[in-house]
Amino acid sequence: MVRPDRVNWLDEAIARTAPGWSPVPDFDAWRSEHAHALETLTQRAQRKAHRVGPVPAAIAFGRELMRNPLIRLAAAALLAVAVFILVRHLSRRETATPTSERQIVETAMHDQTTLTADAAQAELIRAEGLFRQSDVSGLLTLMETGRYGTKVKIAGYLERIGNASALSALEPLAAQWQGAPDTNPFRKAIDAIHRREKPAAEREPARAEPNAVSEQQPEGAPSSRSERSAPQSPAAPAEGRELVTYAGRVVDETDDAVPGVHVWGQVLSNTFRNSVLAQETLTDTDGRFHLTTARPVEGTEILRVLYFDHADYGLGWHTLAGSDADESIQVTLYAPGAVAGVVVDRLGQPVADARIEADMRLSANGQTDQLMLWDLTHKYVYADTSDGDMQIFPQGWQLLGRQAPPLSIAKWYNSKPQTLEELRGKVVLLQIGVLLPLYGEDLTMIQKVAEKYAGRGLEIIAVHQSLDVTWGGEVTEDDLQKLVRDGHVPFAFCLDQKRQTCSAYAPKATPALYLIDREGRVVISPTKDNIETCIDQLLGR
Amino acid sequence: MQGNAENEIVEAARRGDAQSFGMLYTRHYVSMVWLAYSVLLDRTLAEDAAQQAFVKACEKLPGLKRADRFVPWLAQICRNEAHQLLRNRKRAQSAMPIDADDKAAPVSEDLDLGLVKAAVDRLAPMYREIIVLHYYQRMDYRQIAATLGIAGHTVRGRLFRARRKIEQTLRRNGFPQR
Repeated sequence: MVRPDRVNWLDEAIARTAPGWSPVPDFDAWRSEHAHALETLTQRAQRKAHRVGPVPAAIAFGRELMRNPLIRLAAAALLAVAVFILVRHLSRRETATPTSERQIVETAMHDQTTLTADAAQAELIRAEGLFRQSDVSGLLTLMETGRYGTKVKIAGYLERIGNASALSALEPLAAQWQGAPDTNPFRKAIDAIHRREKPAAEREPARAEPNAVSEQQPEGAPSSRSERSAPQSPAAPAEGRELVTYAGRVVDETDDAVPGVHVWGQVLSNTFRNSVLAQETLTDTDGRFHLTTARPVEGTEILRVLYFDHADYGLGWHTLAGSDADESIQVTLYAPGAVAGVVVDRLGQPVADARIEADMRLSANGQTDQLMLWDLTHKYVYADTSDGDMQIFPQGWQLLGRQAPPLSIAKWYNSKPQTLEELRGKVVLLQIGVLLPLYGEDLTMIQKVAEKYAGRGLEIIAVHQSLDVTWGGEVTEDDLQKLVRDGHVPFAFCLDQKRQTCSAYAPKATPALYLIDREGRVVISPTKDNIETCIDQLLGR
Repeated sequence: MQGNAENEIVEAARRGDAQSFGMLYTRHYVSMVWLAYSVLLDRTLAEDAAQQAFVKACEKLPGLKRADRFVPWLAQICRNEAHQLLRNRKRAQSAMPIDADDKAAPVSEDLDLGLVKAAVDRLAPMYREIIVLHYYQRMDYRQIAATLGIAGHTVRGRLFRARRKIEQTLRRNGFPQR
């Protein structure tokens, strides 16, 4: 390499690295492609023109005043002092009246269902109080008048402290139970009471677990193990099975030991259908626990999680790394929080009797990552609990009932360019965010729908995300054309290279389905199971 | 930049005049593409970013408080768009192939332009945008300063440092010293 002997050689060299093209502005092309931007500009300008009148004299004077840098500085200093005072004031108030985390969470998350949720919460707290006082008759009275959730909770308490007087109240509820028989909390309470009522000598040998701490467990110890994870009956380690020990310590947020925590684990079979309680125990005064159980049979059984339950804390758990013993388990229990909200269905209507379970997902560093809410009745999941509401609507619920965002499409492969305006009067099934390498099942489903509804007023448009998105594998334009050419796509198929349409619909997972009614509104995001019912409904309208 | 005339056009566009916005588009499209190119090093993506920047600017224009800051404001939108595209692209593919037409001119006898191009591409975005605007779009200090909303001497300083960095990179790569 030879360096040229010129003063400005570097300037020349850099200039020569310029690419051999030069951009050319073409406003008309931009305008035709982005007409909506200019429309927005015009609308906003008009709105602003309406809003903006002559500036009041006081504001004008203030603006003039603030031009002086010294005054600006003084104002900033004043503001800083004010903020400082406010922060001090607030922090003092906080120390004066300690606010529990529960209250903070409740305040943050309450909405229109606050009253209902508070009443339910109050019942649960009352039940817990009665349980702590071992007031069985009080619990029975509350069970008569309380909400169903309270009844379930009380059944859990009665399972531990109930006596024969509770049986008459529990029997009808046990008979009405509609869930899986082995999760019937009322039946479990009845069984537990029957067992207790028998003479001590007749008690199940399974209760006499080879577990030092467990043997000391007082009858009716204050543990609030709920019915959700409690299996049918505790199983003692089988004869001759190898034993494995899990031990550790349970602390609270301030690292103080938590005694009396109910610790148990569930052994799941590999089909996940049968689960039995591994063992259960209570933590001692130093928060320590020691749990010995039969080692799960490798390949068919797994003991995955240990649960830690205490009436004063939210449920804690520890995920076991394998089936080997672990005697250094450290678990932190946190004060419980509350979430309140509304459950609505796909059409935005409130859902009665949804059975909600909250599930805290923890990230790797143990911080709370996400609160998942599950509706156990409808088998739907909704994860976004930022405001405590639950939406049983997997995709695009923000668009529900609104005019569908217009399509902004780079290329149509097997039809002329279409707009949703032109399709008014027809029902449109829009598949947003197709990705060719992963299009197998979804393609088959849409093919079936296309075949069934051919000529019946249903238009189908599938929008490929973009060739730049390469999850699952690279895709070229040829691949898309080949798919269409080979006759696999009996509906409109197009490419959203800039992902404008995809962003407008912003699906949570792709490809997402949207049904648009004859008036151009997004009505529903159907699933594989209900797509035909939904289409029938819309076509019938 | 013809200060007052430009401000009047921006004011008119802010009142919803599409034709004025068209003038702004025509005036600044090229520099926005080069600005985006300095981030993306890809023509198609740079043009996409610039066009998208104009879409955003058009929609948000009525909210712009100072007409005289229009171009730096637009430049910032354009940078953001370019970085967004870059992130999307990085997510989609780890390696960034350079388009055929983006490759440097053929290697001449006395100068390895590929090496110089690589040195330019390796600059920090702050320096690369100055180099691109100055050498590729042939803007002078004053024009660059007006476009990026910084002082003329800042442009001069950055350009000087950018050149020095390029020289250092070249030297490290075996380019002979004088």
